[in-house]
Amino acid sequence: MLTITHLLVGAASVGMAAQTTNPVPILIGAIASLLPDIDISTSPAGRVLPFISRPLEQRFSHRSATHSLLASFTLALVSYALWFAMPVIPLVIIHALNIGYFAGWFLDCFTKSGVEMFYPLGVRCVCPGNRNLRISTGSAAEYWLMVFVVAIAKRDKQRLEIAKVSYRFGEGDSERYLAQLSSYDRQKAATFREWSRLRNQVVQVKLLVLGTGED
Amino acid sequence: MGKTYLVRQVWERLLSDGVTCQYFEPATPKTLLMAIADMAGVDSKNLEGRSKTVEVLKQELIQWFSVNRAVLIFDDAHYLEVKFRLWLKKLKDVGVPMLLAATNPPRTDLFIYVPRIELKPLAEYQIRDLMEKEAIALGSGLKPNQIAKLQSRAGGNPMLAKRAIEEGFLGIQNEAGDHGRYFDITPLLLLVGIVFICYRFIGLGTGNQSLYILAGIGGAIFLGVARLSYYLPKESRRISN
Repeated sequence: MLTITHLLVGAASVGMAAQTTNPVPILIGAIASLLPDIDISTSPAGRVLPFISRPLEQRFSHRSATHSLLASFTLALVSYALWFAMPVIPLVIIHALNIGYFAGWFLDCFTKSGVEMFYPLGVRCVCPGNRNLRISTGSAAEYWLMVFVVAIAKRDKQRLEIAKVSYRFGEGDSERYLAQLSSYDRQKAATFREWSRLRNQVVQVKLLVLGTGED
Repeated sequence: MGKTYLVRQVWERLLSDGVTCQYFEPATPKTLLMAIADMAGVDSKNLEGRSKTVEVLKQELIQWFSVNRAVLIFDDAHYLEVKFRLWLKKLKDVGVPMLLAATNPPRTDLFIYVPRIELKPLAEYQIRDLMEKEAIALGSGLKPNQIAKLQSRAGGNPMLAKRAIEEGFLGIQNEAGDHGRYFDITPLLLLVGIVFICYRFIGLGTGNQSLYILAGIGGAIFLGVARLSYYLPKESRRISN
């Protein structure tokens, strides 16, 4: 998967799972989603932390130990223990770190080579089973996935922003906001239909002026 | 260590110990019988100088093996024809020691009668060691990060590990491996859908309408995708992209 895909999925996962629009945890989640690829020295995380990535790449195959439930569990254990020892770190940051990391490696299940989710068992978990339907790095399918994630994240961000504002002022609820969103979508669709109709009319007028139309 | 490497080592060791033995790769029954006859010194031609029929040759070989002792080693035995395997079972009944190397052999005929050793996939460090040696032998100049990526295609199989290095050396881009250690987690989507449905009931019970709506949408999406996944085309067993 491309770095940008990891960043987007990490950020969107944190936004949705931690129910936050705060840019700090979202940024932490996005960066954490790059961490599983530390098992390769040429990855962004590997280049930033070469003293960790070089020994890892000498020992493990790509997408094995760092792309596993074991790694996620270890990170959770360490990070929450750290938070317990030093409660000055906001809990949402710890959540973001763990969610981002998990999303980062889980996303790679959809690639052709899969991940060793149950490391050290050695089986490579993939989704779907047919390799021809899985995503190749940098393929068109990956860009479509990015568009899909951005669309979901954007919509969710708007919902949360409004919910937050409503909560602050002690009025409004989700239903009202969702209804507003639907009406906004309907408005967009109506505008597009109108634009399309006008465009057709303009084309017809052009054809009439040029004398190539049937009428 | 793969099965071919193992049986070849056994064969060489037996030969060096002076034991009569022969290593066979899959071929037609006639070719294999002729090779066994050559090893045993049984004449494959009759008095008229014509080749003996398969049945005659089989009978004569059984007679020879009932008196003499020789070890037969078959690599890729799962490719041998069933009739030939059944004849090998007769040889086994006579007391002929044989070593069969096979990938996913059926639980029938000859394979069910012979004691079985199952070769486990090699550990990661063994595969890495093998790949590094192969990379040096080829003079490929592959870096550790490239070998780490290629290693994911080996799946603990030394033959695939060597092939991955060759592909890396040739610059062939191929993300997926041919090993059988892939596990399809698509059914987990169903579990995610079930979790959403559980949240939907929590939303219903606690009167939280937004949770009810969102969990309902999430459940519908994931259960729909899980259902859809049943209709996805299955992977072909043939090599294709």
